[in-house]
Amino acid sequence: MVNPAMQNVLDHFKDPENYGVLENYTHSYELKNLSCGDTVHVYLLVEDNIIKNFSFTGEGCAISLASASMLSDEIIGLTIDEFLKIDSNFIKNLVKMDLGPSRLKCATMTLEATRKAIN
Amino acid sequence: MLKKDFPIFTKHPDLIYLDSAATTLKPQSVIDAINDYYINYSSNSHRGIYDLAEKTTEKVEEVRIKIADFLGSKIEEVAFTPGATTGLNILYYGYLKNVPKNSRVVVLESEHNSNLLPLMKWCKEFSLKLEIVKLKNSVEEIEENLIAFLDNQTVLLALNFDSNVMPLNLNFERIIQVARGLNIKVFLDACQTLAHKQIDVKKLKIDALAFSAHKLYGPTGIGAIYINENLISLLDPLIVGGGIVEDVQESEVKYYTGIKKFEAGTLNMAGIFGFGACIDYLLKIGYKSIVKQEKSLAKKLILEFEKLEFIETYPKFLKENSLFAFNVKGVHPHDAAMILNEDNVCIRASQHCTHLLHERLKINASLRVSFGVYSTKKDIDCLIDSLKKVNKYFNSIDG
Repeated sequence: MVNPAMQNVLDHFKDPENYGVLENYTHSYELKNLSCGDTVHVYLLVEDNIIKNFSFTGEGCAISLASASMLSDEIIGLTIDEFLKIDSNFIKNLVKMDLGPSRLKCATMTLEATRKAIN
Repeated sequence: MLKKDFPIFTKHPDLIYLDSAATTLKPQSVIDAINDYYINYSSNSHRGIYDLAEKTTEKVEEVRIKIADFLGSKIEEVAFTPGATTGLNILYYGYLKNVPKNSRVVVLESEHNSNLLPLMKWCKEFSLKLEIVKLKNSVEEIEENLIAFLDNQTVLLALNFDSNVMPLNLNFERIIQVARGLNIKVFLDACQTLAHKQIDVKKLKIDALAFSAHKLYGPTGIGAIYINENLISLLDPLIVGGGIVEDVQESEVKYYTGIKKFEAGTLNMAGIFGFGACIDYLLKIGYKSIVKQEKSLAKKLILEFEKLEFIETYPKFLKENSLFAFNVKGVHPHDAAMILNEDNVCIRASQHCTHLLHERLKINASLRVSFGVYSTKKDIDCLIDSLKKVNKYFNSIDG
């Protein structure tokens, strides 16, 4: 039996939200996790200091891609200031799984890539 | 049942530990030896002249003798280091600093970063040409290719004795014979070897060797290097400081000329006490018995893997070894390891510090199972059951 949190991760992993390259974007960034070779590439359309649209592509584990999918639903519509308040605890609450330091690194890859894209 | 020697199994009775290539678990005798230092010695070696300090020095030197016996070297050829990575940096800096510019250094692309990165750094620093030899399809071809790179411009052949991902079982006697014929020095990283098989540095005619204790049931933070006595004077110390000088003047420092010039600063004495105990432990079990047990476990694992169509191994056809790299088809190794963790099965999932090898294999990362003296057939059964679960979670149509 898969627990509900894991099932949610698997669902997002197998059918992620906002996966692909935006036709129009103002910011983008590609981040690589050197220990496992995973990559995530984020695309943002920022207008009037608001994240109007967001998408991502990448290759990685279920945790990294599912958390990218979950995060994408949350950040569309946020102002940059609101987005910058998002931290790793926010991601932990989204994923609802007990994540150690290595797994948290996977889960926060998209957050880190998005921060770098904005900066 | 050797599990009883390892107190972690008392604290974690359900632990299935199959990550001994990362670090081995520690037997009670090693933990006792570390405690023995702190409880009964607790003084600095090679410095004080009071009884307690003298006894610590004696004990440290006893361990040096033990390591020399273990490697078949002379006592004066063994130095303590904080671990294999530091040891390899000491060896490569020391030797490569004084060879002619544009000389060649030869290494394989399957090397662990602990061997490869110091070579890359010091070759660049001293304007030397590093040849990273590509792997081929068979061990024979790899040996031929490696040998083809050795010429009279080559000053060093620097290899992992055993890979931490894909054991190659190279014929070192033959390779070293060719290298020696061309006056090329041979330095080996024996981290993945000494828990499984003996190395006699004199019989094999190795010039230098590095290893760490924590991969042979010893403590972390301690290792040793062997340097052939004829080479020691040619190597400059990488790290300088207390304990390695004959004289210090404002204008000049005179370092020791012997092996102890590589031991600047206070030694990790608790680690050294544990180091001695781990060699005792290893020799008490004996390599014959270790190899027999590993072969039997390897046979079982290979048979089980062959039955599972969802397992992809590296290389495709496995040989009996102490470690195995593989993936569950279509499943990221992190995800597989996470599910295995739910069943207390501990295996490694990453690039295992071998980025070039993974690039060659055209995979992002892999899983790795590695055995220790406490590994059992039941551990393999648990691993296989857990891998079936991984496949079901990620590869079944309904998820």
